[in-house]
Amino acid sequence: MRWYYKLPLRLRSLFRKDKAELDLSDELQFHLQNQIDEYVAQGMDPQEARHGAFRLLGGVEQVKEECRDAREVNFIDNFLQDGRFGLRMLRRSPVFALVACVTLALGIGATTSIFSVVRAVIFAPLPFRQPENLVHVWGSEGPPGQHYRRGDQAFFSSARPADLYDWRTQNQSFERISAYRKRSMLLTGGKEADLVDGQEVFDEFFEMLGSPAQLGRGLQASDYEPDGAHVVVISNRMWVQRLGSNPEVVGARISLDQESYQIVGVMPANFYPTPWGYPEFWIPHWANQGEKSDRKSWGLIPLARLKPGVTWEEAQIQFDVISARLIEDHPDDSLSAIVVPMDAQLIGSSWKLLLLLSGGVTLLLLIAFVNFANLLLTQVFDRQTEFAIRKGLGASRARIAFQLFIENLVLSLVAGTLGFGLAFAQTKVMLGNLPQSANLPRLETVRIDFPLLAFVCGICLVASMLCSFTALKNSGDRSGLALQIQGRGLSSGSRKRRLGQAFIMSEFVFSLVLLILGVLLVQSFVRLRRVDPGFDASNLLTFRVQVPAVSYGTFSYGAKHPRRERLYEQLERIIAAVPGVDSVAMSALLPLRHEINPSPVVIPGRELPPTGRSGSARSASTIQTQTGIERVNPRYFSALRLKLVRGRFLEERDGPEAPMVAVVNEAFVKAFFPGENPIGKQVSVWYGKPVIVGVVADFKLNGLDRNALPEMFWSLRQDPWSDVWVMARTKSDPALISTAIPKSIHNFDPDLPVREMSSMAEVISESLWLKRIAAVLIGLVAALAIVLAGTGIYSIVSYSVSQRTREVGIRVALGATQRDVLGLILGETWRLALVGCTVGCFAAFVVGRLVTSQSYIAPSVASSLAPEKMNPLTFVFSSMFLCGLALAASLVPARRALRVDPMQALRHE
Amino acid sequence: MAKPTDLVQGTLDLLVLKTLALQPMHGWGIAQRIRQVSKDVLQVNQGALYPALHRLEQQGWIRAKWGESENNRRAKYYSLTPDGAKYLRQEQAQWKRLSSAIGLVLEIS
Repeated sequence: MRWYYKLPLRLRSLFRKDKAELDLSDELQFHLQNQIDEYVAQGMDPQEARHGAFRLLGGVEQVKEECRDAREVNFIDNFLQDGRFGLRMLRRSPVFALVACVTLALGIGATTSIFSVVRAVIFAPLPFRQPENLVHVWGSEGPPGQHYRRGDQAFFSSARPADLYDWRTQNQSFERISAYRKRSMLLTGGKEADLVDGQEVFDEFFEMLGSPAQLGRGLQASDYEPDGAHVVVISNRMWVQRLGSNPEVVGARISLDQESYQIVGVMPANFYPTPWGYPEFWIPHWANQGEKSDRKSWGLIPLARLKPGVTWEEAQIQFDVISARLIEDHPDDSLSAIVVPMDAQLIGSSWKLLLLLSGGVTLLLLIAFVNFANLLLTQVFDRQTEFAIRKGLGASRARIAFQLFIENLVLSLVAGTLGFGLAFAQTKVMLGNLPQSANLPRLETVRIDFPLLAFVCGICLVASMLCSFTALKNSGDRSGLALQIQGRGLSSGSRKRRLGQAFIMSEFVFSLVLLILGVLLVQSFVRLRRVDPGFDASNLLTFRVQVPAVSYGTFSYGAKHPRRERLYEQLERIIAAVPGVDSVAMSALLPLRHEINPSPVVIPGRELPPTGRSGSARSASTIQTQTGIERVNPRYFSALRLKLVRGRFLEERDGPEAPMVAVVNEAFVKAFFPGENPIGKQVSVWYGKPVIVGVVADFKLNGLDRNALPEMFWSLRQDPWSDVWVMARTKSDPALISTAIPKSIHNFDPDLPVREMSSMAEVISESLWLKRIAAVLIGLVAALAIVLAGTGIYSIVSYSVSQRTREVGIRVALGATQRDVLGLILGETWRLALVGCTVGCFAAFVVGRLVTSQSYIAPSVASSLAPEKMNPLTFVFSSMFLCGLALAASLVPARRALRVDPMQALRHE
Repeated sequence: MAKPTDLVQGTLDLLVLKTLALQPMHGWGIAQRIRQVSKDVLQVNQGALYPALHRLEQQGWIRAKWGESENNRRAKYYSLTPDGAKYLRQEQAQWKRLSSAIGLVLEIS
């Protein structure tokens, strides 16, 4: 190419501009001189020859300009010139620039930080090969298509080895089906023994997921040979946090449950096969002989990969057929299968909250846009004279548009930079404030997305360009006349007015929707904070004691565990002996922190209540046929200060050898023994057949916003759980003894990890995290929106007033009273406000309905937005508030209009 | 004398390049030469000449150097680059084809 000629020329044009200009004029001068000489030689007098030469060339400056164009110098030059000019204009109106930038930056910041979370949690692809083909397979007792239901939530159960083998051999929809089981093992050899959570996985697990290991390999078929070598695959977290990111880790050995395991691989940080917890290791499950008919060992969670082209719905249909057959073969302990796509399972209900937040910040961004656009437009209208002059001097429309574009580019860049800083800070604060129990998957992977930021800035740029061009178009046709008629109009142009009106309306609608949603969420949060949990939550220190299988035996449901049973009794005594402890409650699950899984209730001698067997299979029955089971120690009821309604509470005499007994709550009685005395009745639930000995008053177990559900309390002495939660009632502030208790447990058995210690008050406040975060974030967004909308409305109205000074002056001169003038200015805002309120209320209602209508609902978000709770007063007060704001915002400029002196206004020019 | 023919759009470049192929020349000289060679038929629009020269230079067909003119004035001399020579040959061939084709069409009638 000829770049070696071109490049020096370009560079010269750019950097040695003076020299290039001098050369150009020298060159033309030489030409003119020659022409003059020629004319003189032909006998013209020198003066005439000079004029002739200029005439022939056709204007030295024009030729120069054309030469510059030919050199393509002008483009860069104009760009720089416009940029400088634009910056100068912005410097001249710094308030405008500041307001525009801050407005946009707020919108960009909020949007970017929320969208970056949305992207990481929802849209980032799962770290598996073809993740769309992966499904979870859950169990459900009873006929196919019938779900466990508790209140408004569907529940699924785990499976047993026999189910996995049945499904594996019979269902043809799957390429592979495997399963995992949670496994806590004691890791020794480090500084201190620690119980770590991992998974024991069935064969083909890693082949099915198909994600490459970060180091080494995943488990493979040879690892599942019975009595083979002990091997383990560890997570990135264990590798980094416990093994110091040692690159030579593959082949090293770690000790789990006092046996040596060889590390064969490290999985990457985003390898997240399950929606809860974060497994630190994976060990192969060695199949044993009786496993194929093992219908007792619950806790298996099957995962499967669909064959290419098979949908999960088709797999479900096939499962329904298989399940019906299996029920005939094993009428007493069959399990139906429910297929849930992997992404739905992993993301769960969190998208609901994120959808709400995304919607909120989008509205905020729209308000910011409207404000920004309004500022730009008023600027452009104000500068019509300037544009007219520049046009008159020969600037092309494109050139003026380009200049506006440059100004907007500068604004957008500044706003984008500010917004980026805001987004960064916001995301950090937001993620830092999430409680541990927050069930948002993949939060670790949240990054402030540069592409996203660029995208949002791009939108801003396009929007501002559109504004400028609209303004130019509106003014363009008349710009020739603008010089003459500027300011002479009686009132501002109708087009401008309509634009302003549209702006006011949209600000009204957007901010009203946000305000109403915010108020509803805050209301429900505040209401929940006042809900009485039904037990005494003050001075309760809660923590979890994990029980290593290696020292206390492997846990399985419904089996006898004498060692655990003794352990819990001893623990109770040890904790109660710590000075400051009043009494000790123990339970398998912590109230208000865990959802209690339900099990079906069978009452001997009574038909099962009809369930949703007929009709559509998916809409499971709402008839309560299940109860939650909670294992508690006998002191539980007195330590939590629960109220006895009937019979007696559990007592120490209900030991392992005594007949199995249970206490039920009032909701249980209402569901299964309405109008009857349940005391002395025997029921069959899961693997137990207890006799009911007492009824306890309902209290909140599953969530402050949930109604009481049927619950049953078994004794930890009779059915010891795998590990245990302790609630120690203290005499004073629970924080005071938070070190003494772990110490005494450590003295008893150093290998008993004490985890997740916090006060009950904290547990309760954490249980509301979703509500709190929704209320706080949407509340903040709404507050921001109101401020932005207020300033926006103010600036629009005050601009329109300043444009109508003449009109007001004439009206006053013709005898309009102050009232008339006020009415003129306020009336317009008032009309817009009324329309805006109507539209906004309607929109808020629709949005509320939309947020609650879907089937995958985060119950705690949904219930606060449920239509029946959409308090009409909230709508009325929010609307009134915004109307007041709008009127206040337009009152200031309206008063300015009142002070207009007619004589001055008429002379105003 | 007939009115000098206006140059067909685009042919100015060709004429300039052809003139420069003979020897390096300044703008004034190019205009004079074209007029002389065409026996006053072709009158170069002086206003268009210089932008054309700058454009050709920008495209790398010609390059410029300052030198002394015949009457001892400082003048900007343009000369053809090798690329420009190649380009000229192409354009010339193109022009010949075009003009002979037009000639043929005009002969027929």
